[in-house]
Amino acid sequence: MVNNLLKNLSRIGLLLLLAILPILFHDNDHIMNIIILCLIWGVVAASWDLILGYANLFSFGHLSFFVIGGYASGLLAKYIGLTPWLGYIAGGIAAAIIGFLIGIPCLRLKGMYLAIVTFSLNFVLPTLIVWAGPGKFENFSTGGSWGLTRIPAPSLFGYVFTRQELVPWYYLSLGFFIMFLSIIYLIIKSNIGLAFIALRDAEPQAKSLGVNEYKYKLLVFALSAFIAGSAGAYYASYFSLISPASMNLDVFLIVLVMVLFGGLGVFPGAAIGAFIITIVNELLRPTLEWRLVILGTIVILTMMFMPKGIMDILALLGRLMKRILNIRRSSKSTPA
Amino acid sequence: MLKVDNINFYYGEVQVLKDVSLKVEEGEFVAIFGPNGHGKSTLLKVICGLLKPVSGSINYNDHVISRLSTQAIVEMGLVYIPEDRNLFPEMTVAENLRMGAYVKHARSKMKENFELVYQLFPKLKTLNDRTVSGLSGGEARMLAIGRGLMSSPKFLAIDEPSFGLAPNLRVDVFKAIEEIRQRGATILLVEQSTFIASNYANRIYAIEDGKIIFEGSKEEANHNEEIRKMFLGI
Repeated sequence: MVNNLLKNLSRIGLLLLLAILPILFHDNDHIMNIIILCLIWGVVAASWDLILGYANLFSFGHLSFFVIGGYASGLLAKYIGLTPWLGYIAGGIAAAIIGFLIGIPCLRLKGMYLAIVTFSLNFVLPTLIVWAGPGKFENFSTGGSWGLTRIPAPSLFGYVFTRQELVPWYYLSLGFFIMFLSIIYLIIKSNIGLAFIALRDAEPQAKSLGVNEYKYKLLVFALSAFIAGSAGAYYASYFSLISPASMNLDVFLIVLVMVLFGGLGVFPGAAIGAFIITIVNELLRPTLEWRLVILGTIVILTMMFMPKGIMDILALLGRLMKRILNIRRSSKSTPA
Repeated sequence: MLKVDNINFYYGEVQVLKDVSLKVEEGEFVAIFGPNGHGKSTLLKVICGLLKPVSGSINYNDHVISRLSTQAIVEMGLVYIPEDRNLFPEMTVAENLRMGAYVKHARSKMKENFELVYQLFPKLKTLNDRTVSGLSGGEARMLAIGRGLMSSPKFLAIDEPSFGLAPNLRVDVFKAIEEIRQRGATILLVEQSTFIASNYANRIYAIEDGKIIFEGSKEEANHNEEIRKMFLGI
């Protein structure tokens, strides 16, 4: 009872807090920008956790799906005039198709081998993007190493979103975040999610119950890539820019830290991890190159002392709260 | 219903199953006895398609199933229930049962089958939302069998149903299996050595060192000096 009440209260409180955040920070563009980034990376981290934590597939090429989504929607918007709203879906679909194709050779790979094959995407894709730059294609150029610039922003009922006003962007991002986290939650709780967990925890048993291993591995590749791709498309329309730099090793590391710090396979840990690490990463900016050292240390400490990441801490806090509440109640009921 | 012909199986260079043949008719309750590590579990895994035999064939309802995927075999109603503690540890009891109804034909009958499982094992209903890691050995065993029932099986291959259970729980488990048989399923199970299983089985096989060394009714097993000593402990 106490547990459920606490859970619901904290949920409502969290939503309220997210809804009124702009009142506090609406005139500080720097902070608004960071909060919007928290929401976008929250979606990316949660989608990565779907394949890394729930399906336990060491897919280390997840950022390439993010970038593919950004380029697909950006190119379609710039050269064909596709509205960004449809671009978010198109980016997702493009990433899902690539994710599915990457999934095929990965079906028989496990652990480190899978990690190596998928990690190589981080080197292949930027090379391809630079190759397909201005000299190669005039009308469909990726913009080379500069990246694809001037990607149009979406408009709603005549209002065009601009970087001059971040509050509308914030609410759009919040809607985007809530929608995709709900989708991820529903996937985890559906038969599909159960199949991922069954294959992760006890593969032979899952197979003996008729769960088709290959089907679900391909499905998780495609689904998680779709969400990352859609987030990439959104990111590109927000910054009106997507470039190969989004796949740099430090970005990869930071997003990985988000997932690990948030906790593998404990929804919504990865999203919470994304919030905390995005903010920590901003705060660490003055430390320059030491930033990565500090983030690396966080990962090591997390892995050693709290394998379920932030969710371990939250569970501990929850137990403490419960104990405090119980003590209060029992002290009330005992006659003085 | 099930016909296994001259199955050979190797783990690396070690031959685990040697020319194993057996037959199970529809509605029968067949028990395979054998000491630990003599190929019993391997045999069940080969039958349900988790392992592929090196040679030999398996027929189920006049279909050759020895090259089919486990998934296809489950779809045909042949369900394997693995040994104790092979549940999904991070899921609740209800989620484990839902996993049992994974194959297509079972999904429509999920509600009925939930009822059936709760009827056979009332204890499970009270444990519905508990995660599996907190269950006792007996509860886990019941859940494993219950999960196997969720796909409306026609043929159940059960690996050591009484392993690690207290004697009174063993009787409960076998009673439940017998009731499942009376409701129309065919049963093939393997056990290390127990009186209880032989009370329910129509026919008995004994396996030693990967070979079938005995086949017959319960009475024949009782009259066979060797078998009695080895497996019935009399």
